Amino acid sequence: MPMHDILTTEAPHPAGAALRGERVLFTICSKNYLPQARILVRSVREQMPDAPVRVILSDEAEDLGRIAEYVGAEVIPGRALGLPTYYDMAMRYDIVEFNTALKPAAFLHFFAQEARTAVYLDPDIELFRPLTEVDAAFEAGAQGVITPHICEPLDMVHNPTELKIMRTGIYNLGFAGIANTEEGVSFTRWWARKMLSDCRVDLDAGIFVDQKYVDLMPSYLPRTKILRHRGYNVAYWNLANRALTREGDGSFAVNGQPLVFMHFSGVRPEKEDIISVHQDRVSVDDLGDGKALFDNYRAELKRAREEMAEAGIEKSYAYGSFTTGEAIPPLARQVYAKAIPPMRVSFDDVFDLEKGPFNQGATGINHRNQRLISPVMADLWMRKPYLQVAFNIRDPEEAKAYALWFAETGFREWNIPPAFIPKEAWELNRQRKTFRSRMAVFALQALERGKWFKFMYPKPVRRAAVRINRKVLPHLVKRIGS
Amino acid sequence: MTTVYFSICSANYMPYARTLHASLTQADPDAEFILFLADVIPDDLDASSLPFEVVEAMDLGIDTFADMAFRYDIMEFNTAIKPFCFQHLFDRTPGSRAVYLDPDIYVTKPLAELGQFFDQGAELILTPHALAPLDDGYDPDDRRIMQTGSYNLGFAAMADSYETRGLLDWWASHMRTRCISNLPGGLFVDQKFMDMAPAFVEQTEILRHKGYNAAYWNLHEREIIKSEDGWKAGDDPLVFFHFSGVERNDPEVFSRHQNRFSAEGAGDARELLEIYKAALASHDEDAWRKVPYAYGTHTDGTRIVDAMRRVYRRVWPEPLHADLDTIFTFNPVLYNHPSEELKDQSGARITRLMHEVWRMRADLRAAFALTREDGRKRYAEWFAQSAVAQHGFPTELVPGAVDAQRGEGAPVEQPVKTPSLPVDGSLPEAVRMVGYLKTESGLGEAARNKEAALRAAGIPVLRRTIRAEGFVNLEGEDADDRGDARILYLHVNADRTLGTLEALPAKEKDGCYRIGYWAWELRTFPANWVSAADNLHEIWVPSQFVADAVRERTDKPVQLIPHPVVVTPGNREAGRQALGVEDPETLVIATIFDTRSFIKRKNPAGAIEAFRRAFPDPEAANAVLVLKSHGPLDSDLARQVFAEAATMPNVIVRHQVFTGQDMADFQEGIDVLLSPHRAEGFGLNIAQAMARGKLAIATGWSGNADFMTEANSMPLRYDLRPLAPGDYPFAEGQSWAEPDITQAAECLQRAAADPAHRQRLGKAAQQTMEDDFSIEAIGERSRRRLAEIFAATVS
Repeated sequence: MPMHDILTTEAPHPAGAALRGERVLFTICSKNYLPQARILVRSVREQMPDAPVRVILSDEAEDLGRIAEYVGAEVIPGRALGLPTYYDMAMRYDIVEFNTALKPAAFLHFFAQEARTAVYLDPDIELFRPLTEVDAAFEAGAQGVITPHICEPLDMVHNPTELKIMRTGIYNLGFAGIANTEEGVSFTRWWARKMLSDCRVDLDAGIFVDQKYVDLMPSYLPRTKILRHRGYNVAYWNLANRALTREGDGSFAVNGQPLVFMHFSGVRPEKEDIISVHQDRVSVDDLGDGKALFDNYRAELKRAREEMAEAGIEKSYAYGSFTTGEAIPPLARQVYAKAIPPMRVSFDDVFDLEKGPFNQGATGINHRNQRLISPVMADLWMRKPYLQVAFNIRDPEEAKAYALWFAETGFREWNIPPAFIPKEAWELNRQRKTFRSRMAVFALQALERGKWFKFMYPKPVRRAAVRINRKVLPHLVKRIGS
Repeated sequence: MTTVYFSICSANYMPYARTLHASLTQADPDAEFILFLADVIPDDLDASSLPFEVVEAMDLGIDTFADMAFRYDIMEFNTAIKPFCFQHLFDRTPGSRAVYLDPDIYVTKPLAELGQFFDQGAELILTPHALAPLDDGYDPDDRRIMQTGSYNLGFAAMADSYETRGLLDWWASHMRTRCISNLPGGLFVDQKFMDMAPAFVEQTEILRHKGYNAAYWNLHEREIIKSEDGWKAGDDPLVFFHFSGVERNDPEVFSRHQNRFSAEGAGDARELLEIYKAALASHDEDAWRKVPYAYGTHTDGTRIVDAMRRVYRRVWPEPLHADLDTIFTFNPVLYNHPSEELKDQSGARITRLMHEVWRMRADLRAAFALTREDGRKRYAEWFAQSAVAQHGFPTELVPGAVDAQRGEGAPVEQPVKTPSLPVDGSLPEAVRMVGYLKTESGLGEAARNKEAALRAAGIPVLRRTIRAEGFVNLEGEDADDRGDARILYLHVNADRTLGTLEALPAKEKDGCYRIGYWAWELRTFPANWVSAADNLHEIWVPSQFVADAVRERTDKPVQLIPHPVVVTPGNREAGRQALGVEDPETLVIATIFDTRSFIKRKNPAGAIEAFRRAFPDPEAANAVLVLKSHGPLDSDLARQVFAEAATMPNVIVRHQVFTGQDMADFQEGIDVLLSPHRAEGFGLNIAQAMARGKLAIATGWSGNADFMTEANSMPLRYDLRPLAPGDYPFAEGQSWAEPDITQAAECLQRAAADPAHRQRLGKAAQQTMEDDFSIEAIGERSRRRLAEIFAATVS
């Protein structure tokens, strides 16, 4: 039997009714964001001491206990969420996409444990007051609670523009609350299913990770509360219209309402003169009293990072490299997403380069030399018209020439790690022992080495060299096969 | 509290507005209604004779009115003035309430709930397009709603308040220049902006009453029912229906913007549609639809074509403050100025208008590279030749236009001369076979099989190989056969027929009796392919389905000669091993598709659904479903199908190309071929499975109906459904089959429960294929027809 599947079945949850009747707060992060999560958890413990808090780790770790101790909350590894295509998603998506893609499944996980409501908070959030208004909304019958990015218009000049917010999602999914009701679960399942293959950044297609889908929450989930309390989700996208002021008791207010939580999106500890790397509207000078909040958060974050190092937790992303240690380039993920449908796979099925799909022949090629063309090579060929002119890889002989050209010189032009070229392609130059073929390979290698000195040549010569590589070499290589 | 209902339309939509007004006042005799006319009142219309007040858009007091009227096309302009109309009404009666209704809305009950919500404090009331997901594979889907806007702006109700005034100011400021449809850019007229409304107005009521704004986009979650106490939408009484995309003259179409519902499949809503159409007709829709749009021409009568408005928008991204006369004066320089965005103009001058047309059309972008000199030259030639005829531009805007005639936008029909095709009876009785004889593709294989069939029947065949772009050509350089033949057999599809004939030397085609072999997957044959028949004597087709489609379009003889069904021996164990199926008893069900050859047509989602319903616990039933596919994953539907498959137990995905022996082993390894397709030209995969003695469960419609009967397989019942544009090439106005998935599930259960029955049908299937579709059988069928032709053409 396949493992328990959170998207379709009603099977009993392994952890049972551990959260029966509770309101659970959770965040999701990979190891690199554990310091932020630590600050979040600490702030939640201060403001809401009795609330159950969970951290979903979208990563692999040897010692979960140590991480739980560091972050101050129970840690659930992402693979335990019951997502059928968990490792497929870990390869399909980059780290940001992947972290957001787990969100709906995490909600379902807590619903299976019979939590009454679940509230998600981004790890880079810091809480300053209890989430009273959220609880009140749930009490009043709300089944979903979301906060708009902005409650007043911005402009179309500075970043982010109003249009950008419309394209990435009206509501900020750094915060969301959903009730464990029939309609709440059914909405979350719909959302979770979109995450299997369509949690990407593709603005032209109208898609922006998990967030854009939630534009439809007020439509698809009855009694969705759109929470416009100005103290919620204060962040760079709404600071232009929200004035942070310090009250007499030292607490902060936003446009006269108490500050509930800040969302320090895009804040960098080492960059003290900017509010967020994602915007250019508000400067530090505009912050007024609020500057202290940012300064304090940056200091806390620095400290939390040091503490993480002291605790001996390393921060590298387990799904960021193959089992060999080779980093996974963005191109590989793109090729994977384009060529491989969502599938139930094990970690090794995708992250072991030998076994994984990157060294198999490309799909769509249908001849005996298919094995020589990896998916990455086929993808480049599809995107570069000059390669299509030079080689017709649907022909077995020309495919072989392309593979030879690629292994000798092409991969450097595009910075393709050698791991993405099939072994058979590397072996090609040793196969043919004819004089002519040896001459051709020799010429290729000579030209390739010549490129090391290209900085010495003036631009026209370098341009000529590119032309040779693109137009002349392919023909030279093709003669080897003839 | 005053509540005013209003609508916006141009003069050509007057019957819609009158129908709306009549239905509204019938439901609520006290309703006050105003029509804002995004147009000028036509001279022959006495506005005072209308039963409602009419306000011309130019009287709204928009400071950049002329700019907007020129910037936008008629549809955009109608939506762009909406916030200004609200402002106008609130200025007229401060503190009042206003309800906008699209002109194609039909009211059946007073909009009483609005008053209640307003009284409870609501300031803005919007209706979501749908209250439940649209992810069944039809259009529109969730993503389309995300791109065009969550709320349908065919309806909006507002109370005059501080926050709604703020919202209107913001909305109106965007409507001056950004009321366009540009989905990749995140814009969709006025509607997309209102996704923001709940963020800006605290007292926004997102109305979930199903009687409001019922339309094609939400019929999946609310059935329209005619009951004793009036019309109902789901559990709520129907208040108004929005007939967006209504086609008054096509009784089959429910709405032209979607493909989920045919008129027939819309249930009782069809009756409402008929009532609505009759109401439109009673207001003389036929005459009004031809009334010209006042802002559709310059002051001198020169037409404003869409591309010209785009040039204006590009040149003036910010609104111009000028009067109507200034902006609507025909100014050829605006369009004839060399395009600023094309630095290199050597060879041929590319004007702004030329560049704009090029940007608008993917075919032109693919054909002419404007960055290159020869591309520019050839494009300029094309523009001079075709722009007037195809786009209806005034000749002043077409440098070097060949003809001074003013086109009306429609392509100029060229009189077609049917060539006379004499046959030279002295040529020897042989067939010259022209086709992709050396290409490794389905089409190539079919051509080779057909050649084998002819040879098996003792007919002399001369080969003439053509090469297919982008496919592997098999090795072995057998030269083409020389010599003469009386019959020229073109094994290429209709769209390639003329091109192939052109490429042949005269001695190989002149005096020959020409046969074309055509296939097609839908019921109606594409009209613009048919002219190819003029150059042929006769057309052969693989199935009765294609025969009917072609006969409808041409008087040439149409002969039904199916594909020979040839299978190579395969190894069952190897095939099952490759799928990871170890137990020889496991029932292996396969469905085969290519994501490029239209996943919608092949319907793998239907196969998955049938499997799910047949075997709620497939492990216990010892059954697996194999999706055998290849092709790119660039469609939403493809990704959705595979995501669905990944979440289901016992569904195996093989998304890769199988070659030669692998494919034979695979076909041998399965037990059932499941094909809930929506249409097939012939159904070669099904036929091949049957030739191997497998059980075929497939939609009993289209090409495969020729060989599938109750006695040799399990044909599925179906309904016919209309296609939407984009579903398939030349989809307009076509229908295809929607198979009965429940029956497919029952067939699967039967196949699992009764192996003897399965094998009996498989045996019968094998027999059918051997008797009627073998190389010999098809060869004999061809021979008989060829003999008749030889006899008739001998001199």
